[in-house]
Amino acid sequence: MKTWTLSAALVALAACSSQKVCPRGQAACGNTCTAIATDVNNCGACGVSCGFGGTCSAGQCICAVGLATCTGICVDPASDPAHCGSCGQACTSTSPFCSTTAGGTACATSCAAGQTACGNACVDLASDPFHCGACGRFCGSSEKCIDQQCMADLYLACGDTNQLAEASADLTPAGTTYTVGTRPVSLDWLGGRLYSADSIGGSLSELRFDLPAPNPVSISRTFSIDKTTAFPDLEFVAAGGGLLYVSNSALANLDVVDPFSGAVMAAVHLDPNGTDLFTGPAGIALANGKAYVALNGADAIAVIDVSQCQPVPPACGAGGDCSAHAGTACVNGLCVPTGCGQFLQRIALPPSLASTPNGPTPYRLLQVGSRLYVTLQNLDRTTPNFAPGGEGRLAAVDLLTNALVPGISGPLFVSLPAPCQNPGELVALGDTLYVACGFFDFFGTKATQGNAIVTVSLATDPPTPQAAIATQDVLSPIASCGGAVYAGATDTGTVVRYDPVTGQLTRAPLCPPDSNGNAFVADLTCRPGL
Amino acid sequence: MTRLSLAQRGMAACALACVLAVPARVARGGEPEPPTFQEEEVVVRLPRAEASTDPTASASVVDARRFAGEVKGVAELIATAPGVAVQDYGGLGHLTTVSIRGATADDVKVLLDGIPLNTAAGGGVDLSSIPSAWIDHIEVVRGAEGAHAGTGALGGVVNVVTKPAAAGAWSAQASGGSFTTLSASADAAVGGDRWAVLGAATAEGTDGRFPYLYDPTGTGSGGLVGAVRDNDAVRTGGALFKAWSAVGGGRVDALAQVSGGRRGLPGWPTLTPNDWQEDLRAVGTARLGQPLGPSLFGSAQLTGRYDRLDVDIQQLGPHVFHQRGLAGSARGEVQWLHRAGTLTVAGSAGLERLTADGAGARQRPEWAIGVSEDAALLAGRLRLAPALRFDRVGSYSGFSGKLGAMLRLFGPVSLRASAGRTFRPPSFAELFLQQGILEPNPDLVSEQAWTGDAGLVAEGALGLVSAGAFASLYRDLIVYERGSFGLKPFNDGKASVRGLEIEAASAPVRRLLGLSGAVAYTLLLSENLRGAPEVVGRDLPYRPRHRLYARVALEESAWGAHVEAHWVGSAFFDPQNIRPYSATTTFHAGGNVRLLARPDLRLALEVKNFLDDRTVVDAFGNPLPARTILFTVRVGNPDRG
Repeated sequence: MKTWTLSAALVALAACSSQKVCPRGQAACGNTCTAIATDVNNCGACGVSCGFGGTCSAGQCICAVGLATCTGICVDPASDPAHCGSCGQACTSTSPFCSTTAGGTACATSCAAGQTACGNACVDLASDPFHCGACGRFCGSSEKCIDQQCMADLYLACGDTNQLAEASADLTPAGTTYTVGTRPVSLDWLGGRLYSADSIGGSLSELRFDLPAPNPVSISRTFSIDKTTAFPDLEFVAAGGGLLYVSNSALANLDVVDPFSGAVMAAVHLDPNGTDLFTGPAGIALANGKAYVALNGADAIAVIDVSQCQPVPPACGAGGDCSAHAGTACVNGLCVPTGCGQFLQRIALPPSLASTPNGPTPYRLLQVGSRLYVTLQNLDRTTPNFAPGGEGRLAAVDLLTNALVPGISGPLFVSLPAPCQNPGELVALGDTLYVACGFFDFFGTKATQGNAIVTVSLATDPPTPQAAIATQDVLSPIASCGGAVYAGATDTGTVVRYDPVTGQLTRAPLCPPDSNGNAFVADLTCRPGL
Repeated sequence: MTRLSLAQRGMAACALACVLAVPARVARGGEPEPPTFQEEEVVVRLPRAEASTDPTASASVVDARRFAGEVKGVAELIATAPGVAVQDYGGLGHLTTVSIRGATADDVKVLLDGIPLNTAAGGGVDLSSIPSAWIDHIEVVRGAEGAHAGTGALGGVVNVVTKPAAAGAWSAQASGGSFTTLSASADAAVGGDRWAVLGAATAEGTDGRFPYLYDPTGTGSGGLVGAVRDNDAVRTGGALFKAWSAVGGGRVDALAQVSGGRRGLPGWPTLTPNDWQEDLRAVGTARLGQPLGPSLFGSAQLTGRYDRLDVDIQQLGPHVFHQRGLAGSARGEVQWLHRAGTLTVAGSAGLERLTADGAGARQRPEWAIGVSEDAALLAGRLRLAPALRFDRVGSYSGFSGKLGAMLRLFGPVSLRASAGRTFRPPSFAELFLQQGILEPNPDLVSEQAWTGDAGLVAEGALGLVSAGAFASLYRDLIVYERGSFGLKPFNDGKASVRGLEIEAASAPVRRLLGLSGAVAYTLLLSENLRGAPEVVGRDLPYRPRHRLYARVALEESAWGAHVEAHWVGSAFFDPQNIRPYSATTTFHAGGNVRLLARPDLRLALEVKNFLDDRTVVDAFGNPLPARTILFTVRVGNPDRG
């Protein structure tokens, strides 16, 4: 019995020593990892709240920009009735409210029009980061209050740490991080909420910005899209018309998802003839009631009719009854129009578009006017590491005819400026396309190649390749806001900011490395309206 | 001469048998036994709970003859034991691996007649590559067994023991049925009083085109679509040669085995109609056992193994992946029968070489030295079995230890308890393989395991009942996480597994149509002890908490029948425990009828998955075969075999 007792004690002792492992620079506070360098509710350590007026910088609570320190505490002299306009300037019982208007800051008998009294402080709930949407509902570090919601400028899908991260437009880390499903790879906005496609987790996570204090921004739901596949692989999420569209690579489907119930309304198989060795649905673009899906493995673009997919579908009745809703059928508990998600055609991308003998490998799509531009990675599938087999290119689809835009001989393609290889995502800023490029020779020399942000002018027809801004990072996701272009690195957690006006290129590590030191920015997006 | 207690004599006899394992039917003094003509007798075979290599360990011994005439592979046989989980990747001759007490397939040591089949490449052993026609019995030993079996036995050991070379024994069997599944095997042994030779050959095949149902949307909404499995064909075969001969006062044993085949790799959910795999394994060993004195016995053994694997996965490009492995070792052992028991000292040295695309040519020497004791105390009521072994494998080294005890309480009831620790050096694949999205990590350290168990065992004329609890701690587990670009192995895993293992088998009224019943239940509570907060404290993925196997059989001399049920509880795909998968229950049934008494000619029918559940899938989501009907004709020597 001694052996048993000894072994049981040993195992019990060891079992107690569980380790919660967080990305570097983060700590496990409760059951989530948080960035204690910037989290106002866990600043420097779990449970340390910076309180009203405080912000968290490098793990230290400090007063937010625009606030004053009065008797050792952060106060907002624009609204604090005890320090109205300046420290110690207290309002009296006859004019108890502190209000700031165009005429300046003063004690008043009531708050001005458009202001809300939080105690005796007159605030604008729409823009006050310390009373954002409700009294005392304060935003995170470097977050702004936009229309009563706390928001940062940039949101990143950090693929290695299973988190969403926030940053300001100048690449300062903001707010905190939010744990989502496994391996987030793609982001898009719908109804003021941010949705993340979690590739390996086979799920969508929803980040909401309208929740009550003390965590006004939180992951509210993670709903499973692929429930049956052992190894799910979601590649992309696009929002439009009140619905979410997901590239389901494991099943070669386009999933149409109702964001309210999280149910898949339609799962459209993208290889209806069963001819693909690998279909590989990747980027999605929505236009004219259709969903266009780049088929990375099949060298084609699938066209799906989604015009019948209506948002907020009614729930099925008992026993899946949809008789009250003509033209619908019960799918996953929802009465979905029977025409929702009809496979229409494939637009084949011929070998003439490719710079390698092994297909053009389309990746991401972007609608500009009546055209759909598609990046062609031109990977060589015969190499063990799918290395670039040639230059990166663009092709274009005419959305009116659903055919490739013709060129001088054969379909039009644009050679992206050197050194661009393995082009990823593309974004339009004015009449210029910006394309993120780069390849990491993981299997060979470990070197990177083709790293750049390249530009293509749409002012001409055909589009004209322009400049290449070489970068040290392997870039793939890209977004544009506030007049700048942001691209994420897939070999590090770095985000690159390019200012087209000044030509200045800055970079900052924003996705934290995991416990093994690995980080990558799988996707990034700007907050709407920025 | 020193008088030995009964238990001591038993152990001494065991030690002798290990060296001088002459067939039981050879009479003392070398005189052959007179021929016996038995009355027709019902022989009901039941599992046992004592492994020859570690008698105090928590173990199950599965007698293959109990399932004679049934088309069962190694995986199906060991799935009848508690603590064991087999993963059947596709069924019908496809990859099958074993997990014991929640350990991965890499952490279970699989032996063929004591020869390790685990290669330095890693990835565990494909049980479907061991032809089932040759099996005599399988010992399943649960818990860290490194002190007895060497590195890699974190979860336990599966020792597949082939038929003995018993002169005069012969049998032949042919099966055929659903999905053009065919198999044939034959074996025969000749010999005399001081030698015997066994030859066996087998061939199996199936086209694997079985129907199944699947959910093309992945939403689990129940809208199932029918399909037929394609590129699922399997063709395998093999040959076995075993021989022994008395040499002087000792004995020489030799074994040579070759098996291999070709399998289609159908893929899931992306179908891969052109992918395939070919494998070949050859094993050879020769062993000399010799008394060295009145209470001293020695043995020397040479072993070699060759493994060959070619895989074509077209998604990875037009390259056939090649892997070649060659291993050789020499082992020496001395056993000393002393007053209290048997002391064994063993040493071995060898070299393993592996050449694989993406990993290059690698080799590593290994050597080990171990000492173990099997002592009987308290007039034989208490049996203590400490063991200690040091292994060096390439640049990795460490100790494995085990302390086992068995206390006879009353009648057939005894209490067994054991505790052990061992380790597994990283495999060549983990250290060096760079292929697809896999990245190597040369900085890995060995995985480690500490295990403990205790239980009551009653084994007697009525059968077997055992019930035990166990706890295991696995540390520095090698898990693949995202590396700089693909997936890279790290020593980031830590997990505890605890639970219960219950096994019962009995033939209470043998005159009642040879009725017997068997049940094996496993409660397995796994807990992830290291990782992100959302995974710590959760169940390990693919580790069902409950497993139950039950069988009822009737065995008369002229006919037999059986029905079996396997219930595997639900588990999770993911470490966050967000994505569950359902429990499954499958039923099998069969029967046989004797057509001729001499030779013993029987016709058997077996129906696997007789409820025709077409939604059953493996851990990768591959569909598993629908109802499979197989007919078998079996003939053999009724007096030998």
